[in-house]
Amino acid sequence: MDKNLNTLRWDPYVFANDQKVLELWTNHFSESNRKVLFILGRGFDVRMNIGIEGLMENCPEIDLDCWLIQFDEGSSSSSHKYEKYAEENFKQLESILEGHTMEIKTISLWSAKGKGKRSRIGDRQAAAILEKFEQIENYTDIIIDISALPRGVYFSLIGKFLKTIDFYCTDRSINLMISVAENAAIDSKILEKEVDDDIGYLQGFGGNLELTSEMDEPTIWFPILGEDKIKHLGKAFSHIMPDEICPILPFPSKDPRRSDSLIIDYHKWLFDELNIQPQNLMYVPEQNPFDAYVRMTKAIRNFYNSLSSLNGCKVVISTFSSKVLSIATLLTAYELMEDIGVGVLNVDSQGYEIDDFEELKNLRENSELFVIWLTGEPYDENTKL
Amino acid sequence: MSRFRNPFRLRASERIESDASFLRLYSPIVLDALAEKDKEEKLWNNVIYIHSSPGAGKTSLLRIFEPGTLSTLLNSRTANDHRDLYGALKRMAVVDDDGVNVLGITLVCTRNYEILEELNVSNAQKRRYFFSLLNARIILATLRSFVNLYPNSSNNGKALDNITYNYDNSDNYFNDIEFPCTGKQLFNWASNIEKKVYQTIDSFLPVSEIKPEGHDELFSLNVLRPEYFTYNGLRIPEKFLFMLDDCHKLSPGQRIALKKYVVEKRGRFSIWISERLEALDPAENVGSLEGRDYDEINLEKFWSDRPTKFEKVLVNIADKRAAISSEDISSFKEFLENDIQEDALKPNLLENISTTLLKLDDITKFTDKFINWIKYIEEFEGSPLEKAVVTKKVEILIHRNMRRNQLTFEFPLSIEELLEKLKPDLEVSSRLFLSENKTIPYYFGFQDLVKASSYNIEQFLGFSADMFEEMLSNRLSGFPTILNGITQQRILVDIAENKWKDLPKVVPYSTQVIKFLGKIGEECRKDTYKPNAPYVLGVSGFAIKTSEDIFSDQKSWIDNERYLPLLSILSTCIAYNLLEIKKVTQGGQLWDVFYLNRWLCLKFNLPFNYGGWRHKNSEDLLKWIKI
Repeated sequence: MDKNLNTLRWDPYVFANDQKVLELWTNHFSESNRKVLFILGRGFDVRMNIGIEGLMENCPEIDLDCWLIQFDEGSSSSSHKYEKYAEENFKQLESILEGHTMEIKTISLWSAKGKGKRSRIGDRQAAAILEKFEQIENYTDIIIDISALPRGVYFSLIGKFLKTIDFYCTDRSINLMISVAENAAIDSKILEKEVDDDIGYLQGFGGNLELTSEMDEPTIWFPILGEDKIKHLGKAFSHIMPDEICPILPFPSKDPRRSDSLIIDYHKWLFDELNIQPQNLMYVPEQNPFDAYVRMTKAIRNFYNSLSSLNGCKVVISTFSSKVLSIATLLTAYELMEDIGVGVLNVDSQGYEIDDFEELKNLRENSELFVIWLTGEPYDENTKL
Repeated sequence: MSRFRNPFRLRASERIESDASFLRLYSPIVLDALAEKDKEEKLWNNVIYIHSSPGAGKTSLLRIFEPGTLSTLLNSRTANDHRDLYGALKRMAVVDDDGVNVLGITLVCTRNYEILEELNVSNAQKRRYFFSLLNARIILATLRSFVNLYPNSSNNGKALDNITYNYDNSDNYFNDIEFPCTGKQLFNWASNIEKKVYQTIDSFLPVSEIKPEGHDELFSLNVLRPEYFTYNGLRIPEKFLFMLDDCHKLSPGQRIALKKYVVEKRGRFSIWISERLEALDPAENVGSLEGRDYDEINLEKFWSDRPTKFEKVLVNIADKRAAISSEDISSFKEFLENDIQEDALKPNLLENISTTLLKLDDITKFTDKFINWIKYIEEFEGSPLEKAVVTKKVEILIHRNMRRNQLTFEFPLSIEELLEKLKPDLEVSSRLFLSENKTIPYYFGFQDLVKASSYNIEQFLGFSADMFEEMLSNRLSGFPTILNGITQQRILVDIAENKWKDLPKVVPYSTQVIKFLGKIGEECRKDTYKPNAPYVLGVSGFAIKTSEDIFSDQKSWIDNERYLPLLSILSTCIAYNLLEIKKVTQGGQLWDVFYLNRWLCLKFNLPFNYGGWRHKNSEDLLKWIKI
């Protein structure tokens, strides 16, 4: 691979968090010719409407359509008991969007596989909501809010939008932004249940990992570690069977001891079961997906270049941490998709357990909104600032 | 050979990198399941399905037959560590002193076969892509096996050029390639097919843009024969063995298509198909289907029918693991105490005796019937442990006697009558009752560790890893390495508690499964701990009796739609190794008895013995899974 290690698509980048998000949106959408498509998921998460609420409050005159992704989780999902909260969120969304068009896109997360068995198809179904470019060509801006979307859904969804925009937008680009409301306290109170056994690379992010004709190349795995994910990590490991593992820890982080705590939590798994060498540990900033993407992309290119005389390598990235950091893995995999086989392996859960929903509602106000701008004006040569 | 602090944490065979390390840790006794098939002349030119729950050793079993492993073994066949394994494989004619006789071709099935079912094309087209992907991958795997069998014959880049494949293509299976061809040409042909189908699965583009090639037949198994290959003038193994691992990842339709093909063409090739129990239809999982049209090895069942052999396997595995520890503890079994430390536990035992005597005083206060029996305990001369056990036995006998309808006068029963009743069958219950308050250990010793493993090697390693960790800590702290009974029991029970806590994370339908298992555990406990110990081995299983009512259509519960949720939960419990099935004849009828996995016996404080089970009504069981 000849590419310069420092040539990166999203460097420089446009990224905003907290109050700056609303400033960014207010300035950007004050132009009258904007037509916006806002995509979000319907769910019980109290953060579902934070993004759209912020946008509509600050830009009340905006010309906006909404696609609401509603997922059918199957009759046995433990999330059904939270349906009343999902309905509350939906009613709130309806009132926020009064006077605007809302189209509901229903997708199945599962496909029946026989009596009492099923397999996960949410990624493919999510990508399939965008069948052709004509569906989005009249929009100037698309915002995908992932606050209430599971990882198994939004990766392929964003990938499909990115690919479609890259492929079809030859004369002008559509502004594609990802928004997410993060709140570590809420995350810690939503406990994942029933870790998927049926795992695989997400659609569009297979990275040629499962090509047997290329299986001689060593596989390097970059898992971004997060709290209480030992079962997820175990399943992912068994699936990938990597030759080398470079665990990624979040640092700098809001809690400066977070990466140390993670090492303590996973010590047995990392050093006894997998025999990982301490020098393989990597650190990426917890709060900035673009910085994390830059570090991961460079590390992977370095690995690939070092191993190129031995036929190169394959890379798998997995994220077991926040959604903001998961976007870093998406950008890295997308950037390296053509040059190096980089796959994204996701391990989802089949349900969630929440002890006290009212507590989550009280925590909602402390959520932080992030906007990650991926395509469009800032990256267009003619309009670059 | 790498050394590890705690080698018991090193789990599945896939994680043990080099063939030499793998061979060193492998127990040849594990091959017995295949050796039996060989004796029955069913091992070669046949279809064998290898079934088990996760962690029972399917992949390790297949890995032995891979060319790299066999070549490594052949090169060091006289080494002490490998001699037995070499002998076992030689008896099956897999190897001999001249070389490897079987070319093991491994193909691990991944989820992407199943994704073909999600493509927006007709079912017939999906089937064609499935066959073409499988054909391409089997051909690629075969070529890879050749290269691995002769690693030193040439450098890897050129190794494929040394292979010549000469097939007459009379059936026109192959397009765009002429024969004879080199291995490289065949590799490129198969690789192109694989890439196109894979691209169809992974790409955001529609299928029509990619145009992958489909095949009408799974022909690769038929056209890959030793006689069609040459390799640089070297000897070609006389048999090809196709090993398809993780076939539970195929869709049900794909599994059926594969099975139909291999069963129809049976006899023309050797194929072993390994899959987890979860792939089976729920009804198949609970064992209702008879007369399968293929040979099957169910690893857990194989070992449960041969418990002594399984213990030997585990001793072997444990010793081999301990031997590669970097921490100077080179044995495992000998550091697990097999007897209760009576001196250390003397106060607990004495307290137990006096508490039991007080209880006996209380329940016999209105009768003199047991006065001699209680006197017998008080005057019993033996160690505190022996006395505590006898006390418990007498307590059980008194309860049994008191429950009977008394037609006799309340004359005191004699000591002779007591001695006549003190039979060995009271041993399990008395020891269990003695340990009920957990101050005296019940679960300890290597044999109990074996039983706690429920015939699953990974489960054994899981328990052993924590035991070994404790040994390492003892050594580091300057204490004796050996683990006493109390410590062993604490470790085992802690693991069981953690596994129980983890169930919601790992098992589908976890709420129903946990409720169901909890109820079973509770019922088993109730029956096991009845004061008169009516079930001498305790109760740790159940068999399902179809509910009989006036509306019953006399169908078995398995065939009744109404019980589908129960069937799914049972099937999940079996697939995740939470319940074990054993066939038991009782009253002239064959029953499927569902026993709790032995780690659940730890959770519910039940004995490890099999044999104690109760009939349960299908209607009641259905209620247990309702949430």
